[in-house]
This record gives sequence, structure tokens and C-alpha cells, in this order.
Amino acid sequence: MTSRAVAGTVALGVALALAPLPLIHRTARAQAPAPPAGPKAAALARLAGDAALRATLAERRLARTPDTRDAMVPGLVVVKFRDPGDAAAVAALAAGHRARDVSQPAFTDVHVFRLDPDADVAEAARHLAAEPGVAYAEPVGRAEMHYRPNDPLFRYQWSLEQLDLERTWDINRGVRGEVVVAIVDSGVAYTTLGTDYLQAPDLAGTTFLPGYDFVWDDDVPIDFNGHGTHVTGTVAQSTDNNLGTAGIAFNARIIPIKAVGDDIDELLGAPNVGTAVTVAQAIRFAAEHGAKVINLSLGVRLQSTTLREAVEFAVEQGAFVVASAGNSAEDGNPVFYPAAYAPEIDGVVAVAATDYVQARSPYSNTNDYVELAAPGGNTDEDLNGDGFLDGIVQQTVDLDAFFDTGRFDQFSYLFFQGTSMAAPHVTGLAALLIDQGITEPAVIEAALKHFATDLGPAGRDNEFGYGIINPRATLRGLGLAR
Amino acid sequence: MIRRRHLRPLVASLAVVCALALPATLRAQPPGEAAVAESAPTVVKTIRDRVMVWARDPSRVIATLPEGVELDAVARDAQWVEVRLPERFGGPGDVRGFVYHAHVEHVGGPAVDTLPDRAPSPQEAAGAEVPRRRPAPRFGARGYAEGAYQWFTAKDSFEAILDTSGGVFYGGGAQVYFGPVYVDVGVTRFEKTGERAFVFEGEVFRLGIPDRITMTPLVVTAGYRFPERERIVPYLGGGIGSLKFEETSDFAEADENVSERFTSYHVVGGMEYAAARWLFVGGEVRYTSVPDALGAPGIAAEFDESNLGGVSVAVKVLIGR
Repeated sequence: MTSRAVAGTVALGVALALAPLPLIHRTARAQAPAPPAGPKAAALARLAGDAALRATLAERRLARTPDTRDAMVPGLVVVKFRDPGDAAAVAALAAGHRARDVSQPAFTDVHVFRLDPDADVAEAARHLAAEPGVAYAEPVGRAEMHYRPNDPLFRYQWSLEQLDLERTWDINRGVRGEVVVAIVDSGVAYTTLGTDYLQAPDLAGTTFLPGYDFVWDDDVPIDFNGHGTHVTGTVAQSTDNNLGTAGIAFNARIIPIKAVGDDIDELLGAPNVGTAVTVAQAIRFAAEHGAKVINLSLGVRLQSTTLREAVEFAVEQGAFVVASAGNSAEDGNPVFYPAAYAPEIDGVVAVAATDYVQARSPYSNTNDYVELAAPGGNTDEDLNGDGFLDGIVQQTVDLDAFFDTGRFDQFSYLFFQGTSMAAPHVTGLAALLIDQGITEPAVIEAALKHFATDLGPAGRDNEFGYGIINPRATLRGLGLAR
Repeated sequence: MIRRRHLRPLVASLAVVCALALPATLRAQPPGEAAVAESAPTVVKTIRDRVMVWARDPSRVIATLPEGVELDAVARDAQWVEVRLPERFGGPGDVRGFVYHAHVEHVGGPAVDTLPDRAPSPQEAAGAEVPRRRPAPRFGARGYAEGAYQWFTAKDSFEAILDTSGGVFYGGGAQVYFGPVYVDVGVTRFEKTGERAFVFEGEVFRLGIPDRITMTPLVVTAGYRFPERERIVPYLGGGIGSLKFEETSDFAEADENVSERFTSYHVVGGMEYAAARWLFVGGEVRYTSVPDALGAPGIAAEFDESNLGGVSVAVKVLIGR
């Protein structure tokens, strides 16, 4: 039995015993043999310290994605005259080559000829260079913003590459304003409590706002499971910090809210378990504390009016709600809430999971409430050939270390899969979009659907909804003609 | 000082000049006026209060007369009688004007019906050349500069991106005409920067990404020029053109920008005024259609708009003849 199946059985068992219980939509860690995370964490640690191996992988990656498109700016040619002050010669050459405009950029001794945008600038440069009085002429290369987070494990975040996040960040570099995102989950390793519980190092640069723990009924929503910390990382992992991985909306302000318990919480005597009620409480708390996006990588199998009303309340308060669709496609494809409310509430979306080749991840639910898809990974395959199973990687609590030491002071970069991992991709994009100026939940939903890349049968379908999110197209919006 | 011995030839010369000039002067007098001068003048009297006396060219009221004012009538022109204004109404000099025939009655001299048609003006009487309507030249060529404001057909789309549904085009062109037919070639340019946006249920949400729209229409127009009247020539025409449409935005790859040409069709109507011999000022209304130029995946598809044309009002300054 795989660890994914074990996790599912445990979740189902708990659900039957204490229904309605939220099920965390993570199915497993990437490395299947138990203990699951150890070998993967060790491999990643080895990668971090092995420059030669990194170089080999980088070379392979470069070979895979050559990109020489649009190297030249249409219509522009730089011309260096032997006598730049000879205005008559410049004008004559400009007229002879049908230049629309000629300018001499400040601090240079060259002239820029603006030709027809459709002109063959390489050919034009050759002709210009052959003119008497011209020292040289050359096409104008396009300067590109080569923003790429310096987080060393970014290269393993295939989902961010697939979603074209590097170019998306050229438009909006990870939230510039003050967008508040609530992570309603198993808590977050957002703080340090003595020596027994440490903040996740790769969340050290992330801004956290006061949250709440509805399992323990206190205001310290720390994570004993690892799920919530992983989800938080995909949304707002500290980025460009020379450490680990990147988050999509990496400057977003996070409200950590614990609404789902773990066995550890139960064993430690938490007064509550995670239920539809604690989730509803968490949603209302988030909305009342300024959250503009609420990530719900969880679900309840029973219809819950309490939960629905909480979601409706949050949307009314201006919060966009992202719910995972569920990981039980192979287990009867049951309906999960609040995902199932998504089609009926503008401003709530249900998210399915895709793999490295943008096929539906086999576990991802196929219900009529699925509205969007995003990478959730598939830890049964390594289609990108990077030597690791194709899960979503983020830093989170290393439970193996906890079981050894009894302290939550060890963290690993783990590959998780699930619609739980897909949802925070949508949450991160929603945060970026809000930062662009689209703040109404219903409009955010419409924009995400409008710009989604349709997968599967044309139009909406139960596997991918309206398609996989397209962050760059969403943030760019529409021009007059294109 | 002229010496006495030189005075005699001078007086003789003047006498000869006067002898030669007098018959010519007499011939220059209009027959009607000469006839009137030789007999008793026709006299009319105003029969109501506030009778208006009009001048022509330009047409304006030069006096308002009370009832009972006697006036010398010198000519008639259809239902108007040309009269000399008494000095107390018209001021010093031979001031003439026209009164409506029903506002006066004949009180002396020959009947009004016997008056000659409108008397020639003093200028005409003196034989001076009277400016006449300039016959339209049979061929001409002019160059012009133009400024136009266009209300776009795709108004919602332009409003969404540029925050305005119209814009100013600047340009110029050349025009030739052969009799009443003219051919015009013009090129103008419109450029404005707005923001990329998203539309939801008709409401526009802008994203803060600059989006530059440039349109450069090259148009050829052929049309008909109506006869000149009061220095004004109305005209109508129609034609075809080629519109270059360019849209570029920040963060775009080359293939995401737009640079395309579309065929356009237009009809125009306008008037031009001859401000001087070589200078004309024109006003023109133009409807342009550029079908199937917009649509998916742009914002125009959200509004079901596809035409890049519009209605424009243009002002032209033409130099030539």
C-alpha cells in the first residue's frame, strides 16, 4: 500500500468516525517508501551542497528550453556614423532608407533609425553598414528582465515554470501592495516557540498577521502536520532569499488559521478536531480580519449549511475563496464541500490538479463543480526527468525528525501532491491579480476562468473546469485587439 | 511757381483734356439715373412706423423711418424700392437703401413702376470694375494640413482601453480637381496610450499595464465640388483607404503586439471657404468603416465590436488654387 493510499484511508476513517470532518487534500509525500520524506530530503540536501550536480542539471535545463525568440526589437537599427555631427548625412541616410524617425539617445554617439516595424532589420542593418560614412549598423537587441528567484530549489518547482511565473513576475513581482491571504489549514510553522517549535526557515521573510487556532482555541496556529506550511509556501514562501524555494505571491501577508487537526493534536489533547464548524469559524475569522483571498486546501464530505454561509459571508466581505476539489477520483469521486458550492457562488472556485504534462492527476476529483485546474503534481511519475517524482516541492515540517527527537525543529523540502497543492497556485495568482487592481471576488473568478487555458474537451468539463490557470495572461488582461 | 508765359499752354491743355473727358463722363452716367435727373424725381412716403431701410452686400438695416417720411425713389428691384435717405436719417452724402414696396406709397413724380431696375452703384456708375464672382478654375491642385476628431464606432472598446471613445487625428494630404471633380489623397495619424483591462458584466477593470494604440489611415477620396457661392464650395465624396493599426503594450512579446493593415471605406461631405486667393479653409464630416478589424482575443470581442472606423469632423487648411 502506498503512502498516498494510507493517508487516504486514515482520512476516510476519521471522516467516518467524526463526520463531518475536513479532509486535507494532500495525498502523499513524493518518496513512496516509508519513511516517505527521508530519502527525498536527503537528496535535496545533497543537491544543495553539490555544485557539480547542480551544474549538470542546469545545463540539461538550458538545453531543454532554448529561447532566442524576439531577440530583436522590430523596426529599430542602431547606426554609428563616422561623423555623428554631420546632420545632413544623417538626414540623407534616413531619407534614403525610409526611416520614420531618427534619434540620438543621450550618453551615446549612435543614432537609432526607426524603420517600418515589419522591415527586416538585419537586412536593413547590412545595407546601412555598407553606406559611406557609416562605421557600423546593427539591429537593436531586446533587453529582457531576467528575473528569476535566486532560491536554489526553484529549478525543481516545475509547476511555476509551467505556469510561466518568471514572465508573470515581470508584470507583478510577487505582490507590491498589501494583499492579505488567509491559509485555513493545519496551521503554519510561522513562529518559534522556545526550542521545541521553530519557524520554517524559508518562511522567515514572509509577513504573518495574527491568526487563530480553532482546534486548540488559542491564537498560536502552529502546524503539527506539515500540510498547512507546505500550502503556505506555494502561496508566499520567502523568495529571492538564497534559500530553498519560491512562492507565487511572495510578498503577500499571511493570516495563518488552524482549522484542521492532526493525530498529534488529538494525542496532545486538543479540545477540538477539525470539522465543518471549525472551518466555518476560520473562514469568518479570515474575512473579518481583512483577508482578500482564503485558501481552503481541504474539504468536507457532508453538505454543511454552516460552511456554505461562512463562505458566502466571506465573499460578501470581499474575500475570494479557493477550495480544492478533492483527491478521491479513484475512490468513488465523492462530492466535497465547500468546493461543491463554487458554481453557485461567484467569488468561489473549485480547483482540480494536473501533472507535469498538464494531464489530470489521477486522484483529482472529476465533479461538475470543478471550475479551474492547476498543477497539483503526480508523485507516481517523473516525467520531467529531474530525478525526483513530479510533486509540488516546498519546505515544511519534517515529521520524521519530530518522531525521532520529539521537537518540531527540523524542516525539509518535500514533494507533495494533491488538489491541496493545486489550490494555492490559484490563491497565489488571485493575490497577484488583486494587487493589479481587480479586487471583487466575482471579477477575480471571471478573470481566472476567462484567461485559463482550456484543457480536455472544449469549454468547461469535469476534469479541468475551464482549464488550467494562465497567470501571465490573467495579469496582462486584454488590449484593444489582442 | 509757374511763370505767366507758361500758363497759356497749360490752360489750353487742360481745356482739351476736359473737352475729351466730359463726353466720357456723361456716357458713364447710367441711363436711368440720367433720365431721373432730367425730370422730377419719383417721391414715395412711408405709410407706417418703423420702416426699415436695407443696404445690400452686406445685407443690413441702415435706417428705421417713422411714418410720413418722403423719400426720392431712384430705382426698383422686384418688390423693393431703392431710395435716397434724407440727411437726417442717412447722414451726409448720397446714402441709398431699399424699402419694401408695400411700406411706402407714391406721392409725386413718375410712378414707381416706371423706375428703372436697381440703379448702378456709384462705383458702377463711375465705370469702375466691379468685383464679380470668380469663375471656378477648371484645374487646380492644393496641399493641406488637417486636424480631425473621430468618434470611434467601437466606442466601448476604446473607452475601456483609452478611457475615451474618440480621438484626434493629425495629418495632411494633396488634392487636385478637374472642373467639379476632385481627387484627394491624405494620411493622418492617431496615437494614444491607455491601459490593458478586463471586462466583467460590462464593467471595465484596468490593470495598470500601458497599452499604446496607433492608427495611420491612408485614404484616397474622389468627389464632386458644387459651384462656388459666396466664396464657399460644398463638396461630397467617397473613397477607399488602408489603415495601419498598431497596438503595443508593456511586457508583451513581439507576437503579442499588433501591427496590421486593414482596408477602409469612407464617405465625406464638407465645405471650403476661399479665405484668400491661395488659401482655403475647409470643414468636413467623414464616416469611415474598417470592418472586421477587431475581435477576439482583444477586448473588442467583449463588446461585440469589430469596426475600427467612426465618424469624424475635420478642419483643413489648404494652400494652392
